[in-house]
Amino acid sequence: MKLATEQLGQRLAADLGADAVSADELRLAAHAIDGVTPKLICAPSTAEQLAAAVKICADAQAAMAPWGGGTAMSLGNPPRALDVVLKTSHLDQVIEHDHANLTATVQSGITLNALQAVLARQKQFLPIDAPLPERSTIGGIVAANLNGPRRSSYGSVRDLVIGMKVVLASGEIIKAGGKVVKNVAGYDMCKLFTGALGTLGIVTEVTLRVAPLPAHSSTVIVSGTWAQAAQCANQLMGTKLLPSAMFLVNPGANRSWQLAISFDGFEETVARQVNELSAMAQPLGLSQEVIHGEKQRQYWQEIADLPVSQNRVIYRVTVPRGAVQRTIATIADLAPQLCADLAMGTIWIEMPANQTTRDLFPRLIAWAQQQRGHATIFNTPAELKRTTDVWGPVPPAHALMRKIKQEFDPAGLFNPGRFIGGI
Amino acid sequence: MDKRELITELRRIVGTPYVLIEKEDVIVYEQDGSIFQVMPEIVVVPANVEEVSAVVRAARSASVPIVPRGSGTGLAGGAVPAEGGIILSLTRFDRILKIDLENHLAIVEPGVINLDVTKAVAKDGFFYAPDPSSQAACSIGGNVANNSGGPHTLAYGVTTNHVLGIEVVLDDGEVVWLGGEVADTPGYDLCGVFVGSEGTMGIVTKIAVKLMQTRESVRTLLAIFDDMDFATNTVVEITSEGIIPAALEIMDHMSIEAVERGAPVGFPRDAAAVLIVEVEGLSEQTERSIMLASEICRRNGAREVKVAKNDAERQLLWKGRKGAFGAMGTLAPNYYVQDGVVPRSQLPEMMRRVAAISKEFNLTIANVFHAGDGNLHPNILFDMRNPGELERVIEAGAATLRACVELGGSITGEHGVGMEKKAYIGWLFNDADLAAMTRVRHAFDPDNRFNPAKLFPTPASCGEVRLEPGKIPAGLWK
Ligand SMILES: Cc1cc2nc3c(=O)[nH]c(=O)nc-3n(C[C@H](O)[C@H](O)[C@H](O)COP(=O)(O)OP(=O)(O)OC[C@H]3O[C@@H](n4cnc5c(N)ncnc54)[C@H](O)[C@@H]3O)c2cc1C
Repeated sequence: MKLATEQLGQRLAADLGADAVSADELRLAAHAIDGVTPKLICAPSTAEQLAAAVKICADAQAAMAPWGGGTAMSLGNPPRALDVVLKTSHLDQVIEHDHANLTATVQSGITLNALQAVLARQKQFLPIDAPLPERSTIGGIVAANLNGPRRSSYGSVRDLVIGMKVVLASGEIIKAGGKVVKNVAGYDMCKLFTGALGTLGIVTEVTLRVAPLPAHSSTVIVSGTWAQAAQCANQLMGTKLLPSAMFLVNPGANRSWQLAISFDGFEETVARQVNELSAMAQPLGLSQEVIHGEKQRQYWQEIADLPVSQNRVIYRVTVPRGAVQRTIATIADLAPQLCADLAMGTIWIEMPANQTTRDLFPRLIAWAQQQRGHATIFNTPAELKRTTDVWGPVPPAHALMRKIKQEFDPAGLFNPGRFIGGI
Repeated sequence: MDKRELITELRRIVGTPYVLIEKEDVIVYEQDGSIFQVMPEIVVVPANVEEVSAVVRAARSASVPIVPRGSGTGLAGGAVPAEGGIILSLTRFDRILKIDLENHLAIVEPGVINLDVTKAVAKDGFFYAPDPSSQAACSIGGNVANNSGGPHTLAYGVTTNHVLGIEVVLDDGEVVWLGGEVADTPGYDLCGVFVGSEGTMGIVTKIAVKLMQTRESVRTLLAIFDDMDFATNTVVEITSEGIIPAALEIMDHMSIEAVERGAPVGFPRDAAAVLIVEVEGLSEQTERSIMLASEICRRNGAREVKVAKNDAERQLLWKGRKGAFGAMGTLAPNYYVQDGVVPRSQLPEMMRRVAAISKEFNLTIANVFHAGDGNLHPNILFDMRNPGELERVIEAGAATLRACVELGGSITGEHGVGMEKKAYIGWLFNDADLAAMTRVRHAFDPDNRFNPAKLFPTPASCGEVRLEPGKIPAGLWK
């Protein structure tokens, strides 16, 4: 940073108001990323203020970290530098819910739950079951590409985001995409910022596709041995049934395996699918439970929250869907707690944070690559990150990614070092 | 390297028969499905990625542009060599390399025809979802470049939602995979950024696409309306009631007339509009959805609602819909199709504006479009031989796009910007927005080697551009 912290703080306060800037030690400590404490926290009230703050910080060459709900700050490598945390918490408005168009435009700092409450008034919802929805913000969900269990049926974050506004390192606010569900005017810039972990710009506004709330929803949890659960899953996948989520879950501690399948839709469609799945599970000797309502919501929320569990190591292994069971079998000796999205091929593995666990990473990477997939450490206490790149080996397109970063943030001020290969 | 040396080098790379330079050979590449014509200088038809890479390096040494070309069905002039140089045709990249049903994916070369992917897996109960009306002719590479849609992208999404990864040749000849065969490849989503870049970032040489399982049941209905407003209101109500059909397509009176004159399927010639509603899923679900959709149609003034009783009836409806563009020739010597989008909630208002534009410019407009997505296709009918008419047609087309933008929409839903709409892209994006896109372009292609003078609002191109509408042989996309 070119300026003294105090001077930078004054400049920000002069432009945004004293309330928007804080150097309070306790607050700073609460906004540390992987043990790196920022020097200032800045919470602008408008997108324009946020842009102004970025400009001031950029002029001072201060390293910035955008901060939404702070639920996924342990994603990525430890920051190389961190001067200012820029909070989106005041950008929390729904700008427009066009229910007939099935879209909503929101400011990036709105929490997922707050948005869902607004959408629910028109019997709609955003079909992203992200972790910790009472805290996680839309901007954070988009930047970190946080998906949930129903992703395979409702679409991934990248499919649901159709428009954005983003503050670039220059302090300019740009628009990407729009509010129509089909749009090929210019490059699809939303894809660039989705999942970029705030390393190319700070998202201030997002337009998303939303969906009608399903009339009915039930989840069948069948429990038994690994072999039973796996066989039931295979049978299910051979049918024309259309689950909204399809997970294999091992709750750990030698408890039995669960195959959790949710169905959304009309009453009769849900009922038929529940019955057919039950009929499949019974002869295999699996025990069954059908859950709805709050119990169902809680069950899936726990699965959705797993990627951001604190003080644990969370691996994300992604393989083609047909390789999920093989992949689980290769790590069975470690008996980790895990859940696997059978339709997406994503396996979340949760283990205690210790050296043995971390040593598993190279093995997971090699295995995943053999299957034409990839493995990353999604979450881990900072100590374990010092010697490992949590993103795994750099992808073949890494040189191109660096060029993109260079184009958008040549001084490397947005979240430096946290993204893949040192970006 | 001068042009002669370049030709020698290209012949060395791909073999003499695959380098076309004579006028009678290159003339078939002077146009795509749009109205733009530029006579190409050199067309090369490489056989494999090594050859593509070498051609790109040669073009770089010679400082000439490269324009990738698939089947040439694009409607925005994307495959036309605006600044001359080399047209790189991918027609020899026509193999499906891998079908992996266990993993719901296929790896195909870019020259593979869209429909052939579905044909290859249909017997196993799978399909490739994006289904442009041109699917019997257009290539997957062209689909990737244009992020193409189709009638069934309402429920399933457009090309970008079905592409997991691509192999591309970059401006220095390097071959690299963007994305992969699974979701969430770590790093920036460069595959997502590339899809829809209209050939301006590199040459796609392999594509990993998702395959979907066919649904248990498909139900289709045809609703007949005496007023376009009734039809568009129906569409708004269907989506806002929470029914997401697989397809929601409208054809207006003129389009019906075109189809019935060309290859008749029995659409009522006196109707103002017909609406095709198709739902897919489990049988209980489609049963209930089609019932609800029928009710909504009636409630909104449908004169008649006919549910297809069997697959033959269903196919007939789709034959009418998919043949509509090709049938425009039965109404007028020439037609010019536009591709605007509005939020679905604005559809009724937008169709009123199209009618007003038709009056204002004194031109007949036939509408056949993806109503469920708010994606319009006004076909402006005219006769090229009438002096000044083409210019008026282009102005009328622009007026429809202007109206879309005013209603919160976009200037293109699936056909792309190409040469056609680069002057309009500033209606949607300001200089800073466009500069951000240019940065991406620059990271991929610093010399603007790939498909220059497209997509961005650059000044008129230096090649000699002629406007020549409606040369695609009818019947190509039945
Ligand atoms: C009758 C008719 C109906 C149509 N209906 C639809 C529809 O319903 N939905 C829809 O979306 N479109 C539709 N289209 C438009 C057109 O078919 C699509 O844009 C299609 O994807 C173009 O594919 P193509 O192989 O013909 O590409 P081309 O026209 O050859 O090229 C299109 C663009 O892609 C680039 N390109 C081609 N191959 C590559 C490659 N390998 N690597 C990089 N860039 C490449 C070209 O440079 C060009 O910019 C229709 C067209 C016609 C004529």
